[in-house]
This record gives sequence, C-alpha cells and structure tokens, in this order.
Amino acid sequence: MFQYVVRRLVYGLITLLALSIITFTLLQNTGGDPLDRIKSNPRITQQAVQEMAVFYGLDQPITKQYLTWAGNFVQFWNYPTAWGRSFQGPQQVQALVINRLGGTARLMFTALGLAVLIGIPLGIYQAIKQYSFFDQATTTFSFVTFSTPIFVLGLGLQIILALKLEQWTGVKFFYTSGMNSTSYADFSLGEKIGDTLQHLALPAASIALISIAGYSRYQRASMLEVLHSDYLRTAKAKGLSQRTVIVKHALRNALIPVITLISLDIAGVLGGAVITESIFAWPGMGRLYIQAIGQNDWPIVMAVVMLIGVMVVVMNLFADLAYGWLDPRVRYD
Amino acid sequence: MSEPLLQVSNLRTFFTTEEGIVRAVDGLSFTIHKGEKFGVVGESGSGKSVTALSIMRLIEAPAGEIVTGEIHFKGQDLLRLGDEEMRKIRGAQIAMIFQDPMTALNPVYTIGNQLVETIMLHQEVRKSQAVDIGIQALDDVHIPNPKVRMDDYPHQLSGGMRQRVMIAMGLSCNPDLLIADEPTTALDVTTQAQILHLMLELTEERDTAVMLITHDLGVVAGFCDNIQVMYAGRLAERGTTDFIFDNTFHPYTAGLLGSMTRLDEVREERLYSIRGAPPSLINPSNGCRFTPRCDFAQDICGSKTPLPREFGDGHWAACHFAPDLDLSRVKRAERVG
Repeated sequence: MFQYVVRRLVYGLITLLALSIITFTLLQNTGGDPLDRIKSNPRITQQAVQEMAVFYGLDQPITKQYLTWAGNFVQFWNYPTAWGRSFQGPQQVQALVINRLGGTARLMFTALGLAVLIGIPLGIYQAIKQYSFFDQATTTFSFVTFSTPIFVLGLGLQIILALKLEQWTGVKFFYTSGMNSTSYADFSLGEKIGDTLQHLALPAASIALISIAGYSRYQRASMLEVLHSDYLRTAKAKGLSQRTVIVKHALRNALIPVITLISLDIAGVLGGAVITESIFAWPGMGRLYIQAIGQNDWPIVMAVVMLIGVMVVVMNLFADLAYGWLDPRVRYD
Repeated sequence: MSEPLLQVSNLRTFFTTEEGIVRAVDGLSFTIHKGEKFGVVGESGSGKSVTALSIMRLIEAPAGEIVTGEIHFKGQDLLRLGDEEMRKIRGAQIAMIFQDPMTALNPVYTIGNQLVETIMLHQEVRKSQAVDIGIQALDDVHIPNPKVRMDDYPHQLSGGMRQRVMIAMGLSCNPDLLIADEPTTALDVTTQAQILHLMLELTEERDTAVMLITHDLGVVAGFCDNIQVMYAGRLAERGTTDFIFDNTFHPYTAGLLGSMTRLDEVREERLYSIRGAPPSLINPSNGCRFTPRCDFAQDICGSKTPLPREFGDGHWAACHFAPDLDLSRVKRAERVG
C-alpha cells in the first residue's frame, strides 16, 4: 500500500514534468510574442523593448528559459517570486495566482459541495422510485438544466432572483457581481457572513445546478444497476427490510463509480469557471488564465496549468485509494 | 406422502412490457410436501424462475404482478400476507439460492458478515452466537477452515465455494423449504455433482423440502422424488421421477428425454432435438402451446387448451392424447442410476 502510493507519486512527478514541457512548448509556438503589445506602442523605443526582453529573460534560448522557469517554479516556498513575473505589469505570478485561488476555491467548492450533497441523494432516490412521478419530474428538470448553457442559466438567475425579486419585494436578496460589497471591511461578523453568502449564492447555484443534473443522472444509473443485481435479490430473499437492502447492500456498491467522477471534478476545481466568473464578475482563476492566454503571458498560464496538473495527480490517487476502501476486490500490488 | 407444505393453486404471474403482457406463469397448480424433493424442469422462459420468485413474492413491481392464484404455505396464503410478515418467512422458512454464485453474494461484504446478518435477522441470538452458528453452517457445507473463511470476501472464493456459502446461508435458519433456482448451471460438471450431493445430504438430514429448478433432466434424475415439467408458463406433465422417465405421456417430456445424451450408448444417428423454439408468451395462441413443435399435433391441439388430467398416483399430464401416444420413437433415454 505504502509502496503503491510512493510509486504513484513518482509517476505523478513524471507526469507533471511531461505536462510542463508540453505546455511550455505549445505556448512558445502559439505565434506572437509576450511583448507584442508593448512593441506596438509607438512611444516605446526599440531600446526599451530590448531592455524588457533582457529583464524577463526572453532573450535567452527557449531551453534556457524553460530550465530557469522550472528551477524557480519548484521552489514554491520563495514566495512571491518563485513563479516569475507577469508580462503585463508589476505583479508576481505567485501572488496573483494565490490571490485568485481563494476566490476560485470559495465558488467552486461551494458549488461542488451543493452538487454532491443534493445530486447524489437525488439520484439514489430517483433510482429507488424509478418511473414514479418524482423520478420523471426531476429527470426532466435535470435534462433541462443539463442542456442549458451556463451563461443562460447564470443570466436567468440574475434576472429572476436578483433583479426581479428585488423589484417585487423591495428587498435585496442576492448580488450579481463580485465576492463582497465594497464596504465589506466595515461590516460586523454577521453582516460579513450574510454579505458573503448573498454574493456567493447565484454563481455557485449556476454551477451547482448543472452538476446536480449530471451527478444525479450518473448516480441514478449506477444505483439502478445495483438494484437489479443478483446480490440485491439475495438480500431481499433473506428477508431483510427494504431499508437494510438499500442502505447496507445497495448504497456502498452504487457509490463506487461515482467516487471517480467526483474526484476528477475536484481536480478540475482550480481551473475555475470562466463563463460563470465573467457573468458574475467573480475574481477567479478561470478569468485570470484566459486573459493570460490571450496576452501570451505564459508564466501565469504555466502556473495555473501546473496547479491543475498537481490536483489531477493527487485526486486521481485519492480516487484509486477510495476505490480500494469501498471495494475489497481492488488490491494495490 | 406426508402433509402438504406448499400448495400453489392457479398461479398467474404476468409482466407488462411495451410489446404487451407476458403471461410468464399462466394457471399453474402444484403441491410440495414436507421433506419432498420436487424438481421443476423446462426450457428457458417456461416460467420456472418466475414461479419461484412468485412464491418468495419477489416479483418486481410494477412490471411484474401476480394476477391470480393462491400460495398456501403451512396453512397461510402467502399472497395475503403483509410485507412485514412475508419478510419473516423469507430466509427463515423459505430460503432461496440462485443460479449464479459469482454474482449472488454482495462483493463488498465478507462471507461472515452476510451469513451472520441472515442468522441475526431470524434468530434470537447474540452476535457471538450468530458467528458460531455461521461457522458451523460453513462447516456443514464442507468449507475447509470455516473460521478463517468467515473473513473472506466473495471474490476470494471459487464458484463452487460460493454456492456452498449460499447453501449454508439458505440452510442456516433451518427453513422448511429451500428453493434452488438452477443452483448448478453456472458450475462445471464435477462441481455440479458435489453441490447436488451436498444439497441432498443436508436437506435429507434436516427433512427440508427442496424445489429444484433446472433445465437439466440429468440433475433431477438423481435428486428428486417428483418432477414437474413446465412448458410456456404451464404444466406439461408431473409425476414421480421414475414414472416420468419410464412412462411419460407427454410429447414434450418425451422430447426432453430423447434429447439427452447417454454415456453407455453408442449412437449411430444424430441426437434428437425438439424442433422450433418456445413460443412468445405475449398473446399466446389458443390451444396447446406446444402444438407448433409437436410431432403428434392434430387439429384439436391448435384450438383447444388441454387441461392437466390425473392418470392416477399423482401423475398428471396436459395433452389431449395422453396416455395413448406411442412416444417410444422420441423417447430414448432411460433413467440412469
């Protein structure tokens, strides 16, 4: 078991190394130059551009650039300079990314938490009550939300739950942009919590609604498969109550495949949600790295990609370990 | 014959599908006596398993439904029991083991866990006593090292071992009736013989009645006192094993017997086979359902349903021409052993 974990971590490091080389190479070959924007400014001299290139190390051969970046990147404890500078201003990439990490984590983990806590039980209940009115109604609802583009869903929530609801009731329930109000610092603790939730609710709900639809469908299918299995028939034939049959014999088996799905979704959390962040003016990772890609600001892109890579490696390992914990047939040797 | 244990009368179990209503069991009556070894034989789709699941009341609603009938078990009609009362019968008084031991045990719990669960459900014992009973049950089915095996997961056992565990589980609460639904079909031949022998030994010891469902006449021959041959959801023929093997009145039974291979026989010609395939049970035609495949069919067979008639000594056959057909050219096999 310990050996297995060590081996997997070594593979993970190799994967990350490969990921960094491939991403770096791709970014170097996307066309354009990180200093394009500066070069196009007629008031900046050729001389100044040259100095900037030297400053950022862009005059060095590509391999050298990569090695310098990689050497610094792994020394992540050298905050905030370890991950290099953004080409767009004075910011250090590490500070920028970590700053966005908080916002992204708040939004994405809330959404994911809601999706798991609602989607999984929903799917299980749908399966138990297969073809009932409840099943049909919630399944239809799932299909509708799942096939609604997130920007429609986000805008819809803004219009109905923020704009219209405030017009009808005169009370402001939800905010449509940002993580907190501007006067947040002056609030009492209670007000701070309220303000945070009012900002968080709609963007988190937009993402969660779609995930709930996905998870419940997946969980429903997995649960149905188990419900029709031979060992469940055995459990019933023993005279066990419906409750024991479901809770003891069905649930654990039905959760096994869903664990992988959730683990990989957790891995994707750090990527943020570009569209939702844009609609709700949420300062998250998604917007950060989409902007960075557009501006050839590769130190930011590399940092975000590597963070996601680390999460994927870790969560994959976690999923495999969780699998073994739930299913005795899985062995690590 | 001793007192009746299970009396099924006029059982009809139908399934609603998109194509129509499947009349899986269509008017079946039979009796199993205390300690009797009762074989139910027929092709796939003849209604054997559905009959068993109907007795256990494990027909999956809403698609499946017991439409009419009575199932009297020790004097009470199982079809009139509440869910709670029925649960007390399942596993305790009527136990069931299934065809595929590879999938019949829950993969995520140990053998011991699943065994003890059953025992504690139906017997007023403490956990430690239940564990002892469980170990004894595994020992009874000749599982070596039963104490150690209690902690094994199903995937750590072979198919034959798993079926032994199923038998141990089924018999752990001393049921009056054990329903074995093709218990040896998924096993290789040597294991089959061992499992059958084991079942016979244990149920003889305890005077447990067995309803053995199979499509293999060879299996029932050595095991059962009486055989019921089913075709398309109905009774074809029923009688003592000896009588069925020696004196069948029904062309279908004769066909089944004729298509058996025998070791002690040098065969010059091809093995007999019943032509055609079992009929669809959605809107079945009037008359005898075996008509299209029967070598002896006449006009009346396609229009009038032959009701089961008794020919004495518990021998029943559902054929218009019983007992007058000369089935010798079809039937070749004689009972071995």
